[in-house]
Amino acid sequence: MASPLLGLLAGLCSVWQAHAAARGRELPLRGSVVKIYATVQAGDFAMPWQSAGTGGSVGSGFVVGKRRLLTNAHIVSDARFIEVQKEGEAERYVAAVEFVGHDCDLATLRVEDESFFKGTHVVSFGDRLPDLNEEVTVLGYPRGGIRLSLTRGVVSRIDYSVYSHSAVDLHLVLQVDAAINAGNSGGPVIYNGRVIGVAFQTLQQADNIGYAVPIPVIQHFLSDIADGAYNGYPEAGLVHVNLRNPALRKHLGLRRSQSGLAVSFVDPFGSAYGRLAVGDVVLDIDGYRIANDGTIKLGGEPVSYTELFERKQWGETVRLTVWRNGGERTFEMPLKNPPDPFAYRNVYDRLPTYYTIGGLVFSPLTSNYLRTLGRSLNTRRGAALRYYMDYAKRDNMHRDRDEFVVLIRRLAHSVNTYCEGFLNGVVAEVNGRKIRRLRDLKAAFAAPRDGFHVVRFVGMDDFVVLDVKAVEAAEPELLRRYGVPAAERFEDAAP
Amino acid sequence: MNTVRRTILSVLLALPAARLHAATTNRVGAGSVLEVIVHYQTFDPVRPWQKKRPGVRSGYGVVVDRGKVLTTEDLVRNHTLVELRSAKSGAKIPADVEQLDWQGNLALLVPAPGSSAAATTPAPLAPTPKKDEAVRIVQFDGTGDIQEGAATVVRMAVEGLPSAASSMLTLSVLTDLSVNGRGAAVFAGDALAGLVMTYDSSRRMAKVLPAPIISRFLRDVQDAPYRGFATAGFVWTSLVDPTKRAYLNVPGRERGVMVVSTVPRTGAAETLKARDVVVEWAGHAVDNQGFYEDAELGRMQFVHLIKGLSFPGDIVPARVYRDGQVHDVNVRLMRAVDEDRLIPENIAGRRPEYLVEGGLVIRELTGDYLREYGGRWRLQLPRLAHIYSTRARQPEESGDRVVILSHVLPDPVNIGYQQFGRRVIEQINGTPVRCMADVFRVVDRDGGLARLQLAGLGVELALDPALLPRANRRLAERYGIAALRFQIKGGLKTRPSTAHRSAPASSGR
Repeated sequence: MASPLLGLLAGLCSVWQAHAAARGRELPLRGSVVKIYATVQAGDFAMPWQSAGTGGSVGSGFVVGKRRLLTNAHIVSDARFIEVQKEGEAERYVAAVEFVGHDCDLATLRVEDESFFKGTHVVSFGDRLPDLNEEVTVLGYPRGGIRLSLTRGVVSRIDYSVYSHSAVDLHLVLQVDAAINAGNSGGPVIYNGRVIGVAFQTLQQADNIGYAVPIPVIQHFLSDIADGAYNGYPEAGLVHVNLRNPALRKHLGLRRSQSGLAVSFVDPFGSAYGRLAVGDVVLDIDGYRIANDGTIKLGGEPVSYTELFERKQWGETVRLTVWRNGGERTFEMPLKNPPDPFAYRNVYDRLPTYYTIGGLVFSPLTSNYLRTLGRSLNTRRGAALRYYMDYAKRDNMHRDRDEFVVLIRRLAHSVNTYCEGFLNGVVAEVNGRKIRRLRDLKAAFAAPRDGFHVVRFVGMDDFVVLDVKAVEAAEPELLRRYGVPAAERFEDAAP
Repeated sequence: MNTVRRTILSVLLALPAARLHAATTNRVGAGSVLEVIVHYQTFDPVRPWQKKRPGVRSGYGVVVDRGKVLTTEDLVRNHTLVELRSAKSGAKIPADVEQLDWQGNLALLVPAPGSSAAATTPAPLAPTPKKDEAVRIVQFDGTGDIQEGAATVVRMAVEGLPSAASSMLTLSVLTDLSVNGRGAAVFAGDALAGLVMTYDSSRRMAKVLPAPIISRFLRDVQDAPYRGFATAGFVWTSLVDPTKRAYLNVPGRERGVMVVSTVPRTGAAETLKARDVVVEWAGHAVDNQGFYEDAELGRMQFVHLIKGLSFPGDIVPARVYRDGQVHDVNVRLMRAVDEDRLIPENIAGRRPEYLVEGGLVIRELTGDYLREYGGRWRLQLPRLAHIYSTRARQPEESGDRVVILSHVLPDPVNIGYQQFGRRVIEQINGTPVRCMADVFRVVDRDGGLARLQLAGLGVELALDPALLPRANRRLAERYGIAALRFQIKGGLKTRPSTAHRSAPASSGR
């Protein structure tokens, strides 16, 4: 008769063996995890005719296909030169960005030299996310050394969070308590010998809270680029009010058996524009019933209804059932949305556009420019720019323009001596012509009246007046004095 | 090198001498200075049914005519108790506030009858101080004794007041004395030359409200009813830019400021237009930076003609260029009343009207509410801040306000709504609301709040009227709300007298 104690020991041994086996499974992956060195140089959004200083970015990546590495977009954004290095090898190999998804903070790199991949293996991806408290391993090249680092922890949360690279996009994240530090970015998070995440960000002023891009987002990205182009996540453009309040459900005329979410705003640049209307109640998406708190049941777990959009590629459709005017209707909604100039993601890999005249520098409002304001952001004019950025669509300001054109700088000269007080004003019109976008400035300044340029700004009663002849005479000298190589850049230019 | 050493040595020797002078001198006039101790308490803008923690601050006042004590308004603002203390005395004398005016930063206190303060010899008012004139600042030291310090008037100009959105003739006074309180008295000889409003220790500079403004205030109080300080109702900017002058077809280079905008329902709105160029005001030529030549003060901003020398109701002649033509106009001055604004500042710290219905806290937007969100309120509340920045002074209709849902006190009756705070309310029960009076009217008419339309939110929030009475009782008990509603019956809409006066602004007041 076997002793109960022995049974317990046997059980413990088998658990130990399972852990050891799991730990052993990541050994082959080590050779596939590489270090990435990028020299980056972004545009200078305060002086848009030139670039900011160069800097270095170091991160991690891993082999996901023939000559292909996967890493974070933020490692290689604005990169001018990229090198990769395998663990334990001195040689670095030149790499180039193949695809980049700034909305999901993922990128693939291509290394032309096949010898780089000798001894590496293409990683295997897991087909599901681990459960809470399951152990994961993070591989990468964080600060504190030059060799490969391995840290362990458990999955502490699976949730939605803002991806700080774009500062706008919200996707699923995997929160782990394994140490994730600068340099880990782009490295694999491994569960049972398979990659289930890419380490990418941490929560500042908190202990042991690191985040990984989880496998559904990775697979969405890899699937998206399979056709040779990255389209990004489709935007439904749906803002809702939850229907947890019984009085609100009654007010909207819903039956007791119905649940869903009430549409409170439809983004004019979203897929839902023209299909859903304010006041509609979305009851069902692709057969998933929406609860009154905006969740659906996936695998028995409540998750946000947005996960159904997250799983779609740009151009696919969803099937919606909505409650409208006292009746249910079901229809297909293609997930196609036009580029949104008012989304205000962080801008990478392109130089800012601008237009100068008489030493006045105009540029479209971007989140990058807003960051250059520093403390000036917390002023009346700076806060107004923040407001325009946050509420352009909600408060219908997008109807009058395609972008906010801002007077960002005055290059001091006698022709613009009295223009300082207008900095960070949004241009409403020039010489009587409404300004919808930066390019409109050129035509408007080409049509002065009575020898004057008159610039009016949104929300300002005062205005700028420039002497046309004086401006024309000063222009070449002004550009030369301030080292401005060209008076304008209208198209988004890659660096 | 020797020269440098000698200079440093002389400075080091000079400083103790100045301190000695400050500690021992006690001239005539100093006896009229009293310490003013103010216990204050403000209403909580976010939880308007209660007050914030009370505080105490102290400064100075000066006994002026008939035993009354003059001090700065920002010292006694939101007072619950004002006490006076004489030099070397521990006795505190209660005082009432007879008149205060944040637009002039002045307050007049009345000590309790029979008190020693009432018997204190009043300080006469000095004539208008001159630039470079030697004055002295009087305050108390740590023992309650009189402390004086020498000072020099280095500038006279119209400047913004430290604690209110208003501007007034202000002296900049350089002093060795470390000024330790608002209201510290500035004497020219034995006469009161002004009251200290602020002191910058790094620059040793005090900003002083001067005797002419004090004199004007005291005469106004004496000549009841109190009329206050005047405003013309327009925003202007300097017009130095020769290109803009040419564009506006204004002759010459030296004269005129441009009217940027006018405030609705003011005298300026009746007679002036944006882009008018004001070249004369009250018979004085106005230069391109807004200065005129004052017979007494010399070169001075023309705002002083309005704020310092005129009264609400005065009709002031002005000459303007409009589309290249000269126009003579008469601008009626009025008193700017905080309650006339779309978004009042509520500097007086009055309890705002509010309604708590189903946990939804509804009130009007005010400046003190915005600033309750800290130094980054413009970024914390971008939408409300934008309304404040662009339209605060300009209601479409008289009495218009911005009604907001301040926040939601969580309760089962408002489940699902708790994130909807700090938003503008457009409609209640389907009726547009433009002020709290509208809110009360609608709620009283309908017997409660059933539907709420917030700006920018396409869906109306709904409450179950049948559940409200019980929920309101529960909310009041759980959150300790003594009154779920505070309504001023017509109180906020009253307007002080702005009786017309025919005398020109520069008639010598």
